[in-house]
Amino acid sequence: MKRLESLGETLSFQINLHERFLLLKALQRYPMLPRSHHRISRTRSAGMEEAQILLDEAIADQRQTLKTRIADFFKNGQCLKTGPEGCILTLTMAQRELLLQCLNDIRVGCWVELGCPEEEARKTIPQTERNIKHLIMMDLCAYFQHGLIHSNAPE
Amino acid sequence: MAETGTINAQPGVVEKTNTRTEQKLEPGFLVICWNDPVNLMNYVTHVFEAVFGWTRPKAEHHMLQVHHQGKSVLRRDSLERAEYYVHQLQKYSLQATLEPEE
Repeated sequence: MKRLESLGETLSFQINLHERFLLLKALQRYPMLPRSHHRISRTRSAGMEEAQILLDEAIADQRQTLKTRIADFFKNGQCLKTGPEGCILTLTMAQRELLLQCLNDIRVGCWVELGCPEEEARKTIPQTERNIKHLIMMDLCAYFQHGLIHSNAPE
Repeated sequence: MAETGTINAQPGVVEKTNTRTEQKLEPGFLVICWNDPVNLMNYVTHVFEAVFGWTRPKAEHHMLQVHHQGKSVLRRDSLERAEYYVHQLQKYSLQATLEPEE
């Protein structure tokens, strides 16, 4: 995945066919984070129950919107066009933020599924098929997140 | 008809005020981001830049505070504003909460 020259408000990335396949596969997993992950406060005080309800509603709305918008901008092919050297992914700044939110939900969701291990403990997680899939998905999301974030210096 | 909020106080009766309305306006809440072993450092920096409009050095400073000290106070604000920022940060799946200022 590499950043190309941008035109105005859009960002363009060149991705190969394997990356395209993996990105679309990963995005199918959204959303992964359990609702219980989103806590408004660590303090029990007046007004926090109401604030928690507002957060739950905001996250539920975001999930619905994000799922629809991500599906839309890949469905009609405008964001992901096949070129001579693979595919060109073209995003507005706002679309990049949505994609980052989506990828991180999947990454953190996989981590929760693994039992929220510390970084070092990840190396000793039982090598079951399920766990390996989650670990690979975490790294895959990190790869795309890195590509989307470090996009300030086009080659 | 809109409520006026008039309360008929009587001896021995505790007046119940609308605490949420008061909290909404007063800057008594902290927006805190907590460390976790999953969110990437460059991602956290990017989110701080995107949500708060901070410069890279300021965003990195707070990211490093989270990383080394376990948490960083990002803002001191009213309940309403603090809620807004926590919602934005949690949409990026960061561990951000609002806490009453002691």
